[in-house]
Order: sequence, then C-alpha cells, then structure tokens
Amino acid sequence: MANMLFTRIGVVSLLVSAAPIVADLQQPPAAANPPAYRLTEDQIRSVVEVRVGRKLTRAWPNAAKVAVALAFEMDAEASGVTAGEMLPVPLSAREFGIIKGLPRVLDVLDRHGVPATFYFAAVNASLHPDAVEQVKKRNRHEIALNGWMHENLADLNDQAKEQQLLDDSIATLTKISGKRPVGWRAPSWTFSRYTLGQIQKAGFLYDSSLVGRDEPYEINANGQGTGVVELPVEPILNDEPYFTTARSFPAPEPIFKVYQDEFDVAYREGTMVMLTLHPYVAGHRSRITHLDNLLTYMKSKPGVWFATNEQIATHVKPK
Amino acid sequence: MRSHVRMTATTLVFAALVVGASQIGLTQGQGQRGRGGQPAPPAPTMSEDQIRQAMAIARVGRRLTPKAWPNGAKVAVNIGYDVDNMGIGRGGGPLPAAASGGEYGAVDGLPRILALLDRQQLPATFFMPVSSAILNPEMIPLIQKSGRHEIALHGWVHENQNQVNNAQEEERLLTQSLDYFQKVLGKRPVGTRAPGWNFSPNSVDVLRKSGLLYDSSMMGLDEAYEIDAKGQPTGLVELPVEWILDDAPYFGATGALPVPELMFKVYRDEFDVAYKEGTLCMLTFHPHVSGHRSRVVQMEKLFDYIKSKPGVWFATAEQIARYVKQNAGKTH
Repeated sequence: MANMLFTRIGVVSLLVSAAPIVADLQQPPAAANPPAYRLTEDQIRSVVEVRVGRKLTRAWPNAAKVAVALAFEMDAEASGVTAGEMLPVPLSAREFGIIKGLPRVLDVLDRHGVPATFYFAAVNASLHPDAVEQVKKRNRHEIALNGWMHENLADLNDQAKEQQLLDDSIATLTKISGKRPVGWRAPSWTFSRYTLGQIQKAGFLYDSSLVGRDEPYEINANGQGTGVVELPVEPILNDEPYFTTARSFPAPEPIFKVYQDEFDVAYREGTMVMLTLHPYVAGHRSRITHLDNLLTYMKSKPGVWFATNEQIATHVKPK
Repeated sequence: MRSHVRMTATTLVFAALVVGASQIGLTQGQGQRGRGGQPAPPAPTMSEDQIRQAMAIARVGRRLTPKAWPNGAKVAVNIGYDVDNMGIGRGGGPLPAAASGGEYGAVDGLPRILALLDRQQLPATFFMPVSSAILNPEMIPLIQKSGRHEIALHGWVHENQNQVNNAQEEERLLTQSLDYFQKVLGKRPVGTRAPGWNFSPNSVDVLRKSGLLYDSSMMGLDEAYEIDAKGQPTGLVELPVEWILDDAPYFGATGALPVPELMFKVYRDEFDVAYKEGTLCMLTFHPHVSGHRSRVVQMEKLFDYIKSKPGVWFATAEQIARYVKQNAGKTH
C-alpha cells in the first residue's frame, strides 16, 4: 500500500507542477485576468457560477423537529501524508484515530443507538480495511467517500487527473466496503471548478462539502438546479478547527456548548445539524466524554431524527 | 473568504509536497506558510520627514463627542454589519466552497440577524460592497423593511484601496458605488467604511471631495472625531472601528475560533468602559461570520445586556455622525 501511495503522489506531482494554481471558474487567460474591482455590474452577476439553490428541508419523518447528522471523517495516515506529516510521531497520532479513537466512537454510538456517516478517503480505507469492517458490522452506519488520499482538488486543478482520482476512489471504496458510496465529501471541503460536474456525472445522491446554508439545499450552477442535494457542513460544527495543535486548543466544554447552541437553534428552526468529528481528534478520552454528554442532551429532547446523510438526502431529494 | 481559507496552510503544504515528491523526505512538518500574508515592511531608510508626511495624510483632529447625547443618554452604540458575503474583491477566486461560505451571509445569516434586530427593535448600519448587493439583491428590501436601518458603502467589490492606489480609479469606484445605491435605494448613502479597513494615501482626499458625511475605517480614538489631512480639518466625521470589536479576527477565516462566550465578554467590557466614559461603542459583525446559529445566541445576550443599562442611545452611524457634527464645538 505504501508503494502505491507514493506512486500516486508522484503522478499527481507531475500534473500539479504543470498546472497553474488559479482559483477562477471563468478561467480567462491568466494574463488577461483583470483585478476584481474592474468588473462591471453584469460581470459581477455571473462571476460566481456555483450558488445556493432552493431550500430542500421538508417535514421530517415521524414529525421530528430536527434532523441530526453525525459525520466522522476517517483521516488516517494518507490524510496526514497529504498534509505534510511524513514522520513517525504525527503519523502515530493518525494511527491513534483508527485503533483507539474509532472503537471509542463506535462504542458511544452503540450505547446511544444512533447512526452516523463515516467518510473515508479511498487510500485510508485501503490502509485500514478492518476499520471499514468495524463500521459495517454495526449495520446502522453509512460509508461515504472523502477523496483519494485527501487531496486538495482546487490545488490539483486538473480536470483529467481529478476524474481519474474520482473513478479510482469510487472503485477502491466500493471494493473494500462492498457497496458503491452514494455520498461525497470533498477533502478539506474544497471544490475545484470541475468537482461539481464530475460528482454529478458519477451519480452521487448528495454532496456534503459546501457551507451555503445550515439546512439541505440544491446546488445551482449558472442559475440552473443540478439535482445534487447539498447537506452543508460548517467549521463551527467541526472539531479540527479547535482541537488540532495548529489551532487555539480551547477547553472542550465551552466548544461542545457551541455545538449544543447550534443544535438548540436548529431544533427551534426545524432544520438540521451536521456535526463533523474526527476519531483522531475527538476520539481522545477528554473529548469523547463530551460527545457522550452532547448525545445524551440531544436525546433528551422529543422529536430528534438521528440519520445517516444518505437517509437525509434520500428524504429531501425532490421526487 | 472563510472556512476554507483555514485549510490554507495544509493546502500549501500539500501543493509543496506533491510538487516536491521526489524529495519527499524534505517536506516534513506542519508549516505555517500561507497564514497572515502581511506585506514585507519597507527598508528602514525613510527619513523623519518622510515619516511625518506619511502620518499627515490622515490624523486625529477635533474630538466630536458631544457634551450630551440625545435625551441625556450616557453612551452611543452603533451596531454595524459589514455585509462582505462573497467579497469577490478579496483575492482568491469565487470557487464553489469558499463562495458558499460567503453566500451563507446573504441566505441564512442576514435574515437571522434582521429577525434578532426586529425582536429587540434595534437600528443598525449595513456596510455593503456593491458586489454583495448585485449578487443577492433580495437583501436590500429585507434590510429596508423595518425603516430603522441604514445602508452605507463598503467598496465596489470589497477591493483593498491601497492595492488600487490610484486617485482617479478610487474616485471612479466611489462614484460608481454611490450611483448604484442611488439607483436601488432611491437615496445616496452618506457614509462609508473602507473594505478591509484599508485606505490608500489618496482615500481621504477622494472622500473629502465626495461630500460624504462620515467615514468609519480608522482607529485613532475610541470616540467620534474629525479627520485632519495635511494639518487641515477635512470636515469628515470619523466613527472609528477597532479590531477588538470586530468578529472577523476571532471567528473569521483566519481566526482562532476562541470560546464565543469569552469574546462576547470582551465586547461587553468595551461597552462598559464606553458607558462609564460617556463616548461611543462601534460594534462590527459580519453576517457570514456571526449570522451562524451559535453566534446569534451570543449576540442576543450582548444586546440584552446593553439594553439593560439606562441611557443607551442605539443609533445608525448616520444618526450619530449627524448629531456629533451638529453639536461640534460644544465638546467638553
């Protein structure tokens, strides 16, 4: 597997070094790219091609007041390598996520009897087929796709290469999990300007990478609905922006209170909460306790629908 | 733009890693590259005279805090929202994920904030880049509906004026922005806040010629003052902002995401001292940053606290600027 990993990096590197890192969907020739302040009113109107489309929240099953989606991103060693962590110590922290964090997370979910969605980059699944197996064994959880090796697609910025990685990722995860994933979450929640078209063509039921609302919506491209259901994420409801060493590392209690506030308002507004945690971050002893408490709190309210992202997307997708 | 920029360090390291894959052993560790992005300081070769010239472009002039606020209020409070949303002039490009983080401000953030302001019957000033108004025109009638709020300028596309740095071009952008709002509001805005709180060396002169009543981009005092330029009063009222009272450095794209309760305690402390000193408290929020559910919960508590004190004048920046200008000369 390690060999395969490095071969992949080699292939990606050739293409990245040839491709300019330009973040512009319109993509005029770089030299002709005027500063944004020269854009006219009409140009501004069409410059953002991918937009929030219609709201898809509808009455939840069994008259529930709110939908709760628990998402766990399984960022094991391949994600670490992609983020520049090549040495034993940071890689061991990723290993922790698989061998200690994940069982702890699965245990808490079992005790509360709630389903969740587990996002794997294909290479992480290849490195840890046993982790995929443990998730599958519960018969309650969804396994969905999180890229090839957690690559940043905007930086890759190469249509053919991205297509190849997507095809390989789907094939690899399908083989390991025994089921073709219906859900997609872009690594680092970042799209290139090709991503939307490619996941649409691949037939994904939903995407869960954008942050345009805090409830389900349809993604629009150039003013038209794409049929892709967006189940939006949000850094506020993610553990990494707080609890990795590069961040502010606050006390977990008030941060889990933030998650609770998000839930309370979603409950009042009748929408959705998408909580994103990483077993290598939240699977630690002092944090898993707070996850346990949070689930206890949510379950104390009447009418909370805990569901996988697939179940939510299937429910809200316009018939 | 927002959340995704948080990934920049990782992103750049990834790019460096894949480009340099043949030297894979050299790319260890989590670099801090890509954060901050401050321009390099100039070489320390400026003379004192040159430094004085740079300083003279815009200085703190007369203090404009009146002897008394309307109805004997002890303090004036302006709730300001910089409606940057997709802020397409802030560099990067409008890629889907980053753009969606900005669009949140228009679609979910602003309506939630307006509902809060309605519940509490508070006025606010919305500083809006024209591009935000073009991309989500439905925001304008929503803001106008209560008749309490002000809409003011915040650039054409949230451009950094110092990167434009051309008096003619800055004047063109200002005129174009004023014309746009005249068209959609039926009223010419009277105030401006520079995008990113950045002036070029030309900005004060451009503003002075435009006839605008006030600016709200500088940080020379924590109360209202007149801007002086080249030793002369400009007639421009400055309602100063402050990073401490802005949500972006804490909760924005590159913010550390501290515990919100503690940060809102900082805003409260700023208010408490302004109350004691009898001056002004300018709050700056962004709908795409603070329009989120858990942030509005804190905002509501802050406004409840401020409202619990007797003698607080909540006002638009326009109302405050007009009042201090009329009462100039009666300062203590």
